[in-house]
Amino acid sequence: MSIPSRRFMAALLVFGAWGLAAVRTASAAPDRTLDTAGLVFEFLGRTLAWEGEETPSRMTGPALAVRQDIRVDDGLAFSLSAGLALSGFDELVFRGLPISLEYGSGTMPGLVFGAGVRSRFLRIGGVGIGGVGRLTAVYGLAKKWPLEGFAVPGDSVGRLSWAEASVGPYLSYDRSGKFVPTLEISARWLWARLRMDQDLGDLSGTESKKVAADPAAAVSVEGEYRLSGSAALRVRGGVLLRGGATDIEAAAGFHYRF
Amino acid sequence: MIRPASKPFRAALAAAALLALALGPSDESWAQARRRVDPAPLKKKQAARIEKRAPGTAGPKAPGRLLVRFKEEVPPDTAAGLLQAFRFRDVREIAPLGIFAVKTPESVSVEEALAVLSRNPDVARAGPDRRVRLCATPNDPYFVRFQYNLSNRGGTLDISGNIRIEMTAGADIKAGPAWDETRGDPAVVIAVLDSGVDMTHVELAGKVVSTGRDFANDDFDATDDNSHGTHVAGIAAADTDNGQGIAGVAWDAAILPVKVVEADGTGLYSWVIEGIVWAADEGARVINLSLGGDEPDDFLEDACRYAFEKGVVVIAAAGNENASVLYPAAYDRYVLAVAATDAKDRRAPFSNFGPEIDAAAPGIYILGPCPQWYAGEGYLPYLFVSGTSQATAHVSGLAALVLGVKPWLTPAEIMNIIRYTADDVNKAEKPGRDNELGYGRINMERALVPYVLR
Repeated sequence: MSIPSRRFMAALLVFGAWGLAAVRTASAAPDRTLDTAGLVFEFLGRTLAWEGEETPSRMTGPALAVRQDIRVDDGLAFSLSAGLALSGFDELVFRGLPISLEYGSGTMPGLVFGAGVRSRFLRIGGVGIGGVGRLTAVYGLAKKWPLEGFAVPGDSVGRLSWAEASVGPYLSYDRSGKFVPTLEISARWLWARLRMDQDLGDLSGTESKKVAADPAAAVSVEGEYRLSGSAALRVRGGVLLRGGATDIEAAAGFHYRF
Repeated sequence: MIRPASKPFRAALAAAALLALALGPSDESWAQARRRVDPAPLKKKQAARIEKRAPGTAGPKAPGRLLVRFKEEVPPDTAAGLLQAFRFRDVREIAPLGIFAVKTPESVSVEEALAVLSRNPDVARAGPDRRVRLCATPNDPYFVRFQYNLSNRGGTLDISGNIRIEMTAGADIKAGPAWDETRGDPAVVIAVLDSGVDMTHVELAGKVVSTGRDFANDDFDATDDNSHGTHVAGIAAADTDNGQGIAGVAWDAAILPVKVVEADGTGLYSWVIEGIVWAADEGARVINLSLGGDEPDDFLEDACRYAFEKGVVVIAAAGNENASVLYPAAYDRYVLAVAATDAKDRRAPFSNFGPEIDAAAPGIYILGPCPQWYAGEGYLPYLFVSGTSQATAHVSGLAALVLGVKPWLTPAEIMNIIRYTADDVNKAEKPGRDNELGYGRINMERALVPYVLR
């Protein structure tokens, strides 16, 4: 894997270890419990600038993941998630390969891992103020395209990995106990690496394109609707501002409280 | 390879045990393939061609550019202000049509900008700006009418005199789409090891990097005294889109003239060896060898290896005797051997064959430049010539184009790109690589235009 990818995975491991430590702590202390488990669909549409490319691309990343929330105490919670993602982006040309390739459309599969921490700093009545941080990392799985029309058989294999980190304050309101809206403002950074390998007869080549800490600011709203004492729906929508571009994110999930 | 030399001459050459280099076929009928170009009918046809020239077709989207038209009730100042408020850049008004050409704000894609504009009630219509292309038609007047080798529209190729040949549409090297991707790089030098180059010819005067080297006369003036080298150089890299004459394969590549044969079209292996080494040392990235000899020679192979290992792509003619591949084309590891096809993508009957053949290119009635003194007074300085020499020059042009966009590739990789992207035009009879056309007739589009992953 590339150096940025190693960084992503290292960060993920740190978050993971943190989360696992929380689980262990929860097991040891009766007042710290596993909170909810859920199934979440997330969608991220994000404008990004590949290094060396003149114009930005738009990346889309729908993902389906299982998520485990771990509440350490009343104001601190961690989350871990894992699932499958289909990442795609618009036109990108690889001219560093022996036979130039144009990636026009379509998606590439990947494994998505997420980790988050949410800490409330202040509570006034039903209003909570705190901070939230998240890391989402997609480890790309290989997608193969046969190269047709050439004198010898060949193929190209693409692998897109990316990660996004976000951090920022939140404001929540929990008065009724039935519906909890949360407003979140965050700063975000996205790293991505797309590696394309080509084999055609005796020809072979590799070209990688990178995005390095592409920044954006986001405003999002999340609503948790408690269906019963143990089941809840969470819906989230947000707008990301990057330069002059406006991107969106959305998520919906069903969560069950143990 | 073409030569007006006769069989007796070849016999004399063998008897003298010279390691002579033959520049042409032994078949006299192919010597007749040379046809001078009569200026009068060309001028008439040239005018007709311009009248028929098709407009540019819509090409791919231009990155980051849009065209916007506002509703009639929106004053132009308001419209321009609105665009600036959205941070569109380089706002240019095409006033008579009420259209604004703009660049998208930084970091905003065309799609996003269009989505924003489509929601604005003042905007009547917005769409991506697009690139037009030349319809694969440089403005060189003989391109459409005579250069079937680059873009074959079918019909009949009407050459002066009583020569008319039927053509098959598409039996060409797909130059047009490739030129949309690249027209070459002046930093890429094609060394033409031949009879020299007419450095005053309008197609070549601006393309030669120096007066070259003449190993036949041991001086530094590689002026052509035969015409063969001028013809070959023009096919590979004639000055193109200059409103005159023909189009070359590699529009912007440079030419290094290296004279290794005398006026009679023959030369010594030693001159070729010196020429290869000199061209490689001078920084040529492609060496065109539209020549060959019957006998192998270790020193000649050493020279080819020297160039190959210095990163030079060496391309040589298979020969025109309908026999075994000549040397140095037969040095399979270091040299790309080129056969010839006709205007119907069939093997040219004179084209040599063998396991060393790598690829083919058009080599029948190919129009190229020649010195004015050779064409004769009252004739335009262009000739139709047939031979694997002409085919080889097409491949050299392609190699130069590939190197222009991918200068890091090795000669072996360039050779494989040319091989693997060829059209297997005789696959009905001989599927796959064969000893007549190798991997097939070269396809510039497949070699240069990005392959779309679906």
